[in-house]
Amino acid sequence: MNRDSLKKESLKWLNEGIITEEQQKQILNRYPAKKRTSLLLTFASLFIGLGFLTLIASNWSLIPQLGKMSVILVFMLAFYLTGDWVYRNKSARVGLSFITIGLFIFGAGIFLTGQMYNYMYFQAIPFLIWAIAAIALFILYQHPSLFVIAMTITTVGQLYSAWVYGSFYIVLFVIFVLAFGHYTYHQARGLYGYLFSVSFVIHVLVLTFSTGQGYYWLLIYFLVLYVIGDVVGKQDIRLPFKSVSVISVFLLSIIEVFLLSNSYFYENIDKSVSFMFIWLSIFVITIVLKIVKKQSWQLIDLVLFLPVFYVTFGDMFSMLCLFAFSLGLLLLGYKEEDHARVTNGTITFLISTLIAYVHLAWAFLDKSLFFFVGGALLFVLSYFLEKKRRTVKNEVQGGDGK
Amino acid sequence: MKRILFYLTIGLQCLFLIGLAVSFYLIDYFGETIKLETLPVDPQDIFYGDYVTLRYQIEEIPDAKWDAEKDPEYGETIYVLLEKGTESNYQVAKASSEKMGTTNEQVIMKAKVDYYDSTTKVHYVDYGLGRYYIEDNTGGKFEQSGQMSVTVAIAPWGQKKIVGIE
Repeated sequence: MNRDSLKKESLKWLNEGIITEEQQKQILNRYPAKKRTSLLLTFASLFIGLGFLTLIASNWSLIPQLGKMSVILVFMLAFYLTGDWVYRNKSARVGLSFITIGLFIFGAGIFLTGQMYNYMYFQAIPFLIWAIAAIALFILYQHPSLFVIAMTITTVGQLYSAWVYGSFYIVLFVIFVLAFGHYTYHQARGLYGYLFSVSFVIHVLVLTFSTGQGYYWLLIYFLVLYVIGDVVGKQDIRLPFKSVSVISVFLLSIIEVFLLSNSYFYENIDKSVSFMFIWLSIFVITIVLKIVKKQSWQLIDLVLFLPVFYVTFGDMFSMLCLFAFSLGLLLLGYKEEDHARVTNGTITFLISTLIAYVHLAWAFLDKSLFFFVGGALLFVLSYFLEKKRRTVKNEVQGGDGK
Repeated sequence: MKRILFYLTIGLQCLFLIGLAVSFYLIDYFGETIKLETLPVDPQDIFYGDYVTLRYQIEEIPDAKWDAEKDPEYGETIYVLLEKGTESNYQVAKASSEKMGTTNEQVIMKAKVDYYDSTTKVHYVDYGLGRYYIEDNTGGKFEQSGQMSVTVAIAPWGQKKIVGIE
């Protein structure tokens, strides 16, 4: 709690005679005033460092090659060493921001040296090296901010590989899984879980599209993420993994609704046999796990992972899956009076309705009529769903009060 | 222990950057120099501020000398065997996706596949030698000459650089 707002609040308590002056002091002492200087210092040092960097960057072409090299090295070392010293002796936060700048200078250094000395890379090696350096620093300091930075560099590296080389960089992926998987599993923070699963989704998107696999392989990758979340019992991994996986596959199903109605696209899907085999085995394992863990009600999630492109009218089937999923969530939410599930069910149901409407009515209705009817439909739907949701919420809160 | 690991981490980063620079200068000592003909370019086009763009004859490889997959993907690695031609310039002998052995007066250059022109049946590749950085205000002398001969040094570890242009 904020000390200032507590001070105001406790003054009221004091005036109303709820607490004595002595007690007020005791309470306030529990919340010591924050040291603002460290924050200011961080900004001061950051600005000075960045000032130097931009000064050099703007005169970059005037500096001879060896001079450029020494500038990069001296600055990098200076930021790293001061950062480490400040981290140990003064403030962890300021120290880490210095170290982060050092890491960025290293990254810039790789690209600048590459450009200076005309290096041609055949893969995203600069990002690999940079990511390894970032991971090493995270391992040394174990601070979440370095985790975020290292994860970002790795993920951007994979995107860079897709963008520049049109290929999936497997080495980067392996490092991602080993290093980040290890720390995500052992430290089990919600933040790490979400970052890991989002990055995983980006990695597999690059894998699927740059290697020219059928888009449907994503179903398997998302399902793998889901199962891992299920198997690992830790709450801070289970929840992020499963929700990111379900959100991704939900979006994929929406896209499928439109893609599969395109007959050209549909006829050109190269249905692979190995896909069916792998998909089926993982799917069966997931179902068995659910039943063994007595979570059969969660089977509703799996409806989104069905390979709808195997059937004719896959777009309709995909739409059905969207509805089955959201209605399932809603019904379960009402039944168990689970507020969060009802909210999610409401949102997904509204989205599904909208998608179905756009998909079915766009071609038949006059455009303005389309929007009018669609708007009215959504109004009515949201009215009823919201009403129902509130009743559930009130019932839950009423139940807690008793 | 943590101290040592910290110094090791930043030490390796320094070494990596220094290594990049040093290996570039080492090409001069260990590299083999060859001469390459550029393609005639519209002289007005080649000069861009502080560098000139160069296109080489060996960047166009006809189907007959292409000993790799017919339709490789953009950005794939290709090994090009170069052979000393009649006028002491190096010409393409063969292009393959595998590294091959060399005899005297032959070198291998690594390149990236660019695209394939199916009408002229020519594969275009990129050696990463397309830019030559020049000192200020010397661009004029390049603007006049159409076709040039470029001296390239190739290190045993595959790295290469332009040593001179005439």
